[in-house]
Amino acid sequence: MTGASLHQLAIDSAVAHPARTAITCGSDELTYRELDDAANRFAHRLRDLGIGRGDRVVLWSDKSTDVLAAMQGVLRLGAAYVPMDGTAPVARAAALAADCGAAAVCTDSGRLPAATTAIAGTAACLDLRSSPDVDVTPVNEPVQDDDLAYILYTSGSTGTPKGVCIGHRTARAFVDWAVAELEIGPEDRLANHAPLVFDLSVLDLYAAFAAGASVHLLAAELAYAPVQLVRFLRERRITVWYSVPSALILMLRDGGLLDRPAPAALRAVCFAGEPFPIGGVRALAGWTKARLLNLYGPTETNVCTFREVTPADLARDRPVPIGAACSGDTVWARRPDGTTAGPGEEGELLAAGPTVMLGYWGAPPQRGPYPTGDIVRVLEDGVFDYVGRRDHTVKVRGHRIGLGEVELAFGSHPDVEEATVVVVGSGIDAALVAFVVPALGRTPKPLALTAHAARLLPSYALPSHVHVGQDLPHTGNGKVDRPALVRMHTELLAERDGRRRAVAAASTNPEGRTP
Amino acid sequence: MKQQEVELALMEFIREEFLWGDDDRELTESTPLLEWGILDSLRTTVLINHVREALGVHVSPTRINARDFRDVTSIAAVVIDSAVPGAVATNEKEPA
Repeated sequence: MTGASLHQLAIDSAVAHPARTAITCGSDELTYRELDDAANRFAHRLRDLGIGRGDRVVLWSDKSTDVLAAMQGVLRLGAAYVPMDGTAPVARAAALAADCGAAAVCTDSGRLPAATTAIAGTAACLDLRSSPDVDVTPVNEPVQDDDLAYILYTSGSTGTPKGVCIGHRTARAFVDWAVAELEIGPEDRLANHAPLVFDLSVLDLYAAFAAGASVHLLAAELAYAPVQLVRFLRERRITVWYSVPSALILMLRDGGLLDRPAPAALRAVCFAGEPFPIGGVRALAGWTKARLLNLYGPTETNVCTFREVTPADLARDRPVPIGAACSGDTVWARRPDGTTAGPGEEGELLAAGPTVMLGYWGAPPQRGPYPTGDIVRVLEDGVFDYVGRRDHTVKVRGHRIGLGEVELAFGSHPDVEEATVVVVGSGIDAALVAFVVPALGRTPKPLALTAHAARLLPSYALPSHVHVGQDLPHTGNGKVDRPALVRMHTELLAERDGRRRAVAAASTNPEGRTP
Repeated sequence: MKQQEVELALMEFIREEFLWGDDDRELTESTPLLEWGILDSLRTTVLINHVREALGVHVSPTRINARDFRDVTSIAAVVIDSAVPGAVATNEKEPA
């Protein structure tokens, strides 16, 4: 049936709040009227190329007001957008466009020549910025509930990136819940910390559009700059903050967040993507009267549970529970024997309901509940604690990464015999490290291998170090001994630090600089 | 400050801090640092702090973007632009 579309939110706000600020990004700013015009221009340009209902359009860009307007333009045609990080190499943009059969790839003028060379012939290539003389006549195609709105590519445990398909109803079920729960109004100013390829950004953008509020985009390069983050929170007078805990931990630890009283305007701090160590949550609770909310859900389900932090949660010595079902969903924990777990028991969390994805691109539609792969413990009254993952996926600063996918990317280099990837460190210091065994007679170099992997993986899934060696330790049953690799890395790192200290001690400050 | 000097200083720091010394000398001035994950947002912050401490240059947040930080050559240009007297002279920490 014809349903409430995702793009209707900004269209309605352009009528109700035309002069209000919709988006800021650096020194750029768009009112709802300007966003509306820009979205319509973009829709006309795509329509003139024959693009419309059901088509996919890749948006390969850093965060900008242009790319947000383009998203709205794509949706207004009944088409779906596929965001792609601006830092991704052109080869990856081309691969992703091919995977989803994109009708167009849109990027900024700087990347357009490279995109045109690599992609033209299979998909149209367009500048994200529209000329001001393009038609602004409203475009607003009706959509069906299960029409595709956007695809978010995530790292899969099976080795290939998977395109999570989100329909209009799916997205609206989540956005409408968030707007109601957070009581978003036109005066609100939402921070957008997450990249546009990350589902956290959906709340920031569309909760703002739903209410005629403003969303303030933070450039990816500033996303972990502690002092700048704190300054952004204050200078933009943010009322609703949403990010991975890593960003908040940095702001607390290195950004001087607590040095000054909390801004009175700040009224909700939401976090998701990874467990937030309780000490940080306590520090936030002691600093601000803002509501603190822990949101949970893989990209495949959107936010399916949440928990508003209570005094009792702060008294525990473990992360805040992921809470109870929301967004109209039903969730439960399934024990290994298939039965539903009761209070005190653990099981895999399953989610069913309106926010569950349509399916993975190119795969059969998702039917029935979605098994999250997350192990939870059942508390009282349908509340859950997060326990851990059941597979080889890991989280690095909130990004889910399939180690198998990273290993395949390295393994696909002709000079590589075998590659194993492990996580070293934890929390904000977690990093991926690759161990590579060269093919016989080959001597691949670390950066060359990384360059190869960068064509296949999102940048957050690239290891921060590549060890090229002759052999990998194996366990008794023949599997690569991953814990031993973590120890090996730690030892190599200590050796290297020792050498660096020796070199530093030997050189007696030759330039006479103060240390 | 000369472009080449800044490039060398940046290369040395990136090699030591992020590439384990880069024994194979693979890093060049035009290596795409963000594309290859050599710089991520956390490491970009480390690099900016180093530029402030070692070179005394405050890089303006408006210049911390994917285009200006794509490789060593472009970062060096940002550092030199930011070092122009009076360009950025504010203390990074906000007053208490």
